[in-house]
Amino acid sequence: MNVDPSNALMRDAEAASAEGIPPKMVARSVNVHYGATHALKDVSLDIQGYEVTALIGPSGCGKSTVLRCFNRMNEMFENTQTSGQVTIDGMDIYARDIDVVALRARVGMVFQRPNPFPKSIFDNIAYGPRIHGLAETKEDLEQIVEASLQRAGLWDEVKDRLKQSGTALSDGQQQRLCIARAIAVQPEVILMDEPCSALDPIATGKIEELIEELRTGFTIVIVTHSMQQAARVSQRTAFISRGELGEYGPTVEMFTKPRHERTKDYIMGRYG
Amino acid sequence: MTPSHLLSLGVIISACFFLFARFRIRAATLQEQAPSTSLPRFYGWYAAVLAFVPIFLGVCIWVFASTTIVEILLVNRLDSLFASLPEGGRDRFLAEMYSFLDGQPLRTPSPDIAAAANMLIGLRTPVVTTIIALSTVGALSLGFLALRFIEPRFNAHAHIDRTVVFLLLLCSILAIIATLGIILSLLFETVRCFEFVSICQLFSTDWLPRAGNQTALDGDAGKYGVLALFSGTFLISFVAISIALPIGLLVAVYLSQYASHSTRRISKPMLELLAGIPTVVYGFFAIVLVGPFLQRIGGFLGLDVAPQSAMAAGAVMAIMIIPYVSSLCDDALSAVPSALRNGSLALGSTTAETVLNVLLPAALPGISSAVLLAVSRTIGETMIVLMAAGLAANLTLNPLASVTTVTVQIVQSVTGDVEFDSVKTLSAFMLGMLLFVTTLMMNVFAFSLRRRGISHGEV
Amino acid sequence: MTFAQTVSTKRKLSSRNRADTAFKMLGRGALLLAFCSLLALAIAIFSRTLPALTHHQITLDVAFEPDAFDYQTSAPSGTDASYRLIYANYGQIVGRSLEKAFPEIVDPAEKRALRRLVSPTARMQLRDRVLANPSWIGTKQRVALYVSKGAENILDANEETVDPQLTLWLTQLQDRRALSTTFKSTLFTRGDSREPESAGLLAALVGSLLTIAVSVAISFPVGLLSAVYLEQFATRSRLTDIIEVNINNLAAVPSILFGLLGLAVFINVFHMPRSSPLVGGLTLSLMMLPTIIIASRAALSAVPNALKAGALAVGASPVQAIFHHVVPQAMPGIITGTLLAIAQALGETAPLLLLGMVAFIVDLPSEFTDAATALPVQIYMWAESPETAFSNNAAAAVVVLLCLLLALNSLAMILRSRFQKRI
Repeated sequence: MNVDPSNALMRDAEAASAEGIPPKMVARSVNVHYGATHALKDVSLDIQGYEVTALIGPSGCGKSTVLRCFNRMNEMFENTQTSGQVTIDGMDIYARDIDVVALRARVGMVFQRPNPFPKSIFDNIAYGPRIHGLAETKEDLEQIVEASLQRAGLWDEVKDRLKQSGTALSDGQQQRLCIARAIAVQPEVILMDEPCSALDPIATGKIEELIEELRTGFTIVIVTHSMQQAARVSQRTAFISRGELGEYGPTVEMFTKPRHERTKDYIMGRYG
Repeated sequence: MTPSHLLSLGVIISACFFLFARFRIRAATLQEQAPSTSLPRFYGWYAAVLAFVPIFLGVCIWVFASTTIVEILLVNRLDSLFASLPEGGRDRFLAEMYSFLDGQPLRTPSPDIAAAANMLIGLRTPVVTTIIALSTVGALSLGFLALRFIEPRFNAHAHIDRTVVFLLLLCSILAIIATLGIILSLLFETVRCFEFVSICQLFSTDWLPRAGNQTALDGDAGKYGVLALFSGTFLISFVAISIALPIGLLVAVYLSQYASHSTRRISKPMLELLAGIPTVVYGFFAIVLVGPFLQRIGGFLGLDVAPQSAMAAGAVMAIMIIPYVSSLCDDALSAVPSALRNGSLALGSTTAETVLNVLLPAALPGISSAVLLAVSRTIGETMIVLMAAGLAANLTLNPLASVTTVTVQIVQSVTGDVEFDSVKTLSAFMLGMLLFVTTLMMNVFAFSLRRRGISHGEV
Repeated sequence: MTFAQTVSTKRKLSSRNRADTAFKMLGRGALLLAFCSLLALAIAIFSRTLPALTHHQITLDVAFEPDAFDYQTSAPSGTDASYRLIYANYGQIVGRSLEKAFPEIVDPAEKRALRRLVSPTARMQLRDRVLANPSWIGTKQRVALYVSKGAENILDANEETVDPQLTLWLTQLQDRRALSTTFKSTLFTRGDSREPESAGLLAALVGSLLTIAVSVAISFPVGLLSAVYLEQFATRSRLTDIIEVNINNLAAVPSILFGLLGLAVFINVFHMPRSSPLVGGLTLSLMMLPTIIIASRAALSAVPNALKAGALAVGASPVQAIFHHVVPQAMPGIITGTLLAIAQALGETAPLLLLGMVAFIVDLPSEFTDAATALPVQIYMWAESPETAFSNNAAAAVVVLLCLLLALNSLAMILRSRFQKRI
């Protein structure tokens, strides 16, 4: 690999793989069919722990489908068939005896449009810990809620109105509330499906900062349609096109010396 | 003890198992030092649900089937007695016994019947005791079985979820059972009715059903020709539709094409109000106002109007279905693509010309479907005809005469008659079957017409 | 000259416009006709309600002469002093007071006829007053007494055979301002009766409420749960197609057939008690089911999918996601549908007739297995009666029924508008 040694981020990634740390999540020849549509074709992808991996590609190429393979959210849609293997820490998540509920507690998700529950801010965060029995007492629960909101950088803005409805917040705050809601369950991986596409630039900036911070504690996979965002927040980038993995590698390399013509065309903005 | 007591007992047993199971899984996780797959409360629910199933079944059997079980036992005991009775004598014997038990004996009971009734009462206690005992034992054993299953690797949450989904499926199947119940109950009794009445007899005009005790006197089961009933039904239906269709259609056209927004905002709820009035109120309206009014007008014009005429019933029914017809016509008109209407208006047609030349022809399938649905509503309507139309079967086309309808005769045949299996009662089910088939065919045809109309509109 | 300005076109245009206006007027007339029939219905009912809600009374100077209280020569042993008051000759007191009110009448037959002015219950009225004020004995008091059924008919202008003598006396009383009207509370406090003036609709109302309670207790949970299944869990299959077609057809089945079903299954096969709210409620619940399922499905499908996705993403199971988030969100719509179904069931009459709920019920039903009748059936029974007073009672019962339905519908409308605002 020919890497610019001045890039600090790149060095981290290099170091991680150099030390032989196994990847957090691995997808091997994953195929997804929606009814008659072949949405994903033979996708194989390694997600490194404590890194941000960005999935980019033209709209409708299947990047969200890849993301949803990692917490089996594709099953929400009717007539979906998934084949291949996806593992987390070496454990096959499509195995027969896997409890999807437990899996989703380990792999959290944030959606394109903020979708807080129509309940109070407190209950929004507390819902996950409650159903998973993470808090024995009320004090524990309050502590989890505060810690999650702190981590999502929302605590100072909402600490006086925890009883208010989550839907009354601004869009950017709602999205950080959703991130806090995901964090509250203490997942290992957080999947983000274009988390900033519905937000204004300032709110987007805040979320990007937050992603950078969260990298210390979580493994993050983010789908984005903005190449600048991918370049800003991620360490690795996967380019997906027409349901296939076009190119995958360290972000810097991808944006400076794309190996494939299609990737280059997309990054140069020729199509997409 | 009543079924509700048994139900309470079941709740208590379930609550105990809930606590047991929760305690057990907590202890097991501590002992094995491994976290359980599900939260402790799901193990509790698992045991509680399993323990509750037998109790619930027991209550259902008690409420719905215990009488039948007791009757079967009784019939077994009295086998020799029934063998001596003539054909159909067993059913009559049982019917007489039940009416004796209800405190409304048809006649002074024979000693046999009183003895059988006593035996029946004596049989009730052991049957109920057995049900209670079996369900309690079942609850306890299933509960303990559940406790044995419980260990940290057992995914109780998934089991609970599956049970809930199964329960949901059962609930939606209940809707099928309702329809099936209607069809089967009608079918069974209709078949029994045809044991006494030949099918050819249906196509005559005389409707003179006779109750069982009258038949018993001279062996005459009565006459069951349904032609006059159906002619009466359709006569009233025709009167109602010929009043309601023009009015309903004009109202729909006026509200959708001419009326201002504020008129529409007031008129729509008013029409809904008219649609929400119970039919018995319309029947009352027919008795106190429309019937006498029509009679007076008839007298004024020198016409002979029966106090309970097809006209009165039809007119009141028309008022009832105007909102229904107008809302269906409204749907049909709004299914016509607006491009057609705009095109016609752009050519310089007046609104009336657009409606008559473009909208109505295009909406014709929808309007025909509205008519069919309205007819199906009117022939199934009971209260208005029961109160405003007559009782005597008349084969006539004169709307001023008194006619009777299928629904009226159904009510007449089964009310005021305690015994169940006389031909008269069975004939009600036969009429019900005919009514069901007629309305079902009309509805199916109307829905397919409407679908065709809408798909035409979209193309 | 352009085409639009030619004389023939102009003439044609004006006639076409006239036709358009005529058509519009025809439409307006149709709408007006519909409203007129609503108005006629309202007038027919309300004009009969007032007589049913009022009693006419005659105010008389009543002398409680002591001899009327001694007419029972000896009280049975072991009875107390009130015996004298209970068994006094109140008929005589009423008669004498009436004679005093019409001193010009001397003919003994006519004097006896005077008693036809007051109701037989007048004696009970007097007795109750005396029991409450024993000091009245030996004094003269002004007391208002209920008029008889015949007098009531004349005063309410009912179309029945009119007694000219009574009419004359009543006009005289009217001139003396001795006639008054009071509110008849018996209509709301009693069960049915053979006498229209003491018949009430409370028993029917209680029967209706018990019936509706049974049907809601069954159809609400079952309807809600099957809607959840069809909308959220069922993958399209033969079974779900059959269920869907079934529900739509069930909604269009004439209500009387549900009565036949109830008769055949609940009464004939299961031997459940005839005429009971239990059987009526079970039958009506089958009728309510399609309405509730259709409304609940619409409400559930209006809940954004993102809500469910959010819950699933934090590790809720599908069952938890739906019951914690989707169903509460759809609840206003579901309750609206249920209220409308209740309104429909509350006015339903025909199936209950077949189930034997067309009974003469004097005592209030207290259990689900007691014999009972329902409000619409009570209306039917009273409306069929040839006596005008019963027909008036039916009108009053119609008003009560319509008020209940109006309340249910307004509640549903309020819920619906609030629900729409929130989305």
